[in-house]
Amino acid sequence: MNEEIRERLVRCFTAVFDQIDENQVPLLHADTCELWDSLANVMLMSVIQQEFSIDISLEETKSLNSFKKLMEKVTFDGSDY
Amino acid sequence: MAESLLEALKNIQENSSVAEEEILHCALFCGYTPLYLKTFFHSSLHKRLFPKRKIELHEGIYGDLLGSLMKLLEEKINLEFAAVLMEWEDFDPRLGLRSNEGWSIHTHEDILATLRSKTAFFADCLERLTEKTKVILSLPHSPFLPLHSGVQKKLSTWEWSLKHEIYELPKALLSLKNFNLLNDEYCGNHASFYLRYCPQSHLAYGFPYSLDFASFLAQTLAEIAFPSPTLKGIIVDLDETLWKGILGENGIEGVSWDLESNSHIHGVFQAFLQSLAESGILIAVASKNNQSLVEELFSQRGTLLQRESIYPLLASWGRKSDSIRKILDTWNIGAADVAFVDDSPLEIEEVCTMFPEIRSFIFPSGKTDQILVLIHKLRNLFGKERISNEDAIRLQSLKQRAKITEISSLDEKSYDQFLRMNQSKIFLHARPDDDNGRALELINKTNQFNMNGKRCTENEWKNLCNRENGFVISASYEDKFGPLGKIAVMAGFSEGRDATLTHWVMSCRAFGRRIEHCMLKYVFEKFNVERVRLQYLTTPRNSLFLETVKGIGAIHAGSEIEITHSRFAELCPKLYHTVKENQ
Repeated sequence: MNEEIRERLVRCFTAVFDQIDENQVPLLHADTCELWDSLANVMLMSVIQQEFSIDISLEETKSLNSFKKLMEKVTFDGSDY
Repeated sequence: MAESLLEALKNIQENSSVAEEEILHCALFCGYTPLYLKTFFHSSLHKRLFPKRKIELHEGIYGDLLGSLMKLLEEKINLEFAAVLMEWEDFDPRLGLRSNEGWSIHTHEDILATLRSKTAFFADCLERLTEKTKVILSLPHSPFLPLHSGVQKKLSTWEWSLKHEIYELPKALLSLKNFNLLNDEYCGNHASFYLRYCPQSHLAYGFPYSLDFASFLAQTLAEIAFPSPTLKGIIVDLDETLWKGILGENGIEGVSWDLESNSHIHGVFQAFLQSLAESGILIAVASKNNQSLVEELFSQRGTLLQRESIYPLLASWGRKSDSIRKILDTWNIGAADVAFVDDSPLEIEEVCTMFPEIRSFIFPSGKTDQILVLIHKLRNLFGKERISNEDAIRLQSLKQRAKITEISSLDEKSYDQFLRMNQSKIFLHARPDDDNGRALELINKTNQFNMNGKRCTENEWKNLCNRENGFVISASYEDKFGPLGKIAVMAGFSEGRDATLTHWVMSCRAFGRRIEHCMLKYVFEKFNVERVRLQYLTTPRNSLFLETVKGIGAIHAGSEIEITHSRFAELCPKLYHTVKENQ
């Protein structure tokens, strides 16, 4: 089940960061990825909220700054699971 | 159905690999960050284009819509269209939620004065923009803030004055050909002001709309930018659809469509169908009924849908799908261009099984509100911005076509004799870019005799008409049965002894009159070429095209097909038309 969630999350990332190879996505961190700017962050959070039917508050968006943290968030909050 | 953000992003990525020379320049101008709206809009535009093209979406500067529009007027981009989305703060920042200038009632007069001067500038700017490109204007979708001293339920003079100024802005522009105003009522059917607006997003990111409304708005704007061809015909049932009651059981006087019998909504549906008929939409009836009884009703009772507007009217006890097939054959159009309305889910299912492409609708008999919703839906499928001469004569020419089809089933010699006596005239026009859009309409609507199914935007069409070494020829036709109007268009270019056709379409009403032969003959002779190459592509519905051109000598040559002059001369049947050329 985690693998399926992971694949869906990777799909969200590659939709927003289309220049990043999907194998690199699990290593992504906002601090080290130039493409992960504030606009991309808004898009990414919105895509993930819609895809997993979850709410991410404005405060949370600041701390959810890596694939790893977002994986934890959607695994915990994802309404389908 | 609304598209998700993920789907929209993926759709844009999939379309980004199209060759560079196919770029279409479009503009999305607003005073805020377009954020998801841009993504949804980009994706919606891609979905409406065939063949695929790369889209470059130009944006304005954040917070300065008027300045961005003025800059756009000076740029030399060949824009397909400019979508301009206004919000309250574009007229005065103090009207927006992001303003921190306070809500003092002493500023009201100044806000009104600023707004008045801004609307005048906007109106001037938009008018100049329509001289360059198609403009789509969207007025504010966010709710008006309670800046006034009164209560919301009662409109104050000040608020009314502000709104009046804004709604007056497009008034003088609406008569301009290139100007389009997004209908707020249509948006209201989808979402109220409060569901359109997202204050959290507006404050946090400067984007004022909810995700759902952004998707809807983008799709709607894209539909206005690149409209779908309208459906061509509608087939309706009679009992419990065109009227209330069962004719076979209740008799001629027992069915109704009036206020007294509480069945007026059926009369409204009839009136709607009659208005469609007057705009050139084909109307047919497929009903399980007794034909002579139905004819008697139409001759005795004053129906709002006139009997002459219905062609054909098929009432029988056979399968409904058999009637639909006969109607489609008579009209000579595909099921995908037709809507079918019946009150019986069973009949709908039977017809849809046989014709999966038909657009079917259950007539919700007895449910007035739902019938009105259905009428709105149908109006959107058949809506036309202008009624052409061809629309006015379509039904008449179709009835003539039935006679010709009957004759064409005769042997070759008799048919040839018929054509000789037909007094047919073909008028070839070499400048179809000034024909009120009819030639482009043909390119974008024709399916069966269509060389490759390629559709054009207005800009692409203008470029095609003005291409170096290029030609665009349209054909109008008339014979002793009457005029058919403009029924065929071909476009291409010539190089040395070769001509290449990039587009070639002909209306299904014009089949069987050897018009295509005349057009090809004209190209061979006019441009003095030895060979005509056709940029043919197979589409789900153009097998007739290939069959026709093969009959006059077309052979496959690599990815294209071609016809040589000598082979055409050998196979072309005798042509009896008088051809007149208009430059």
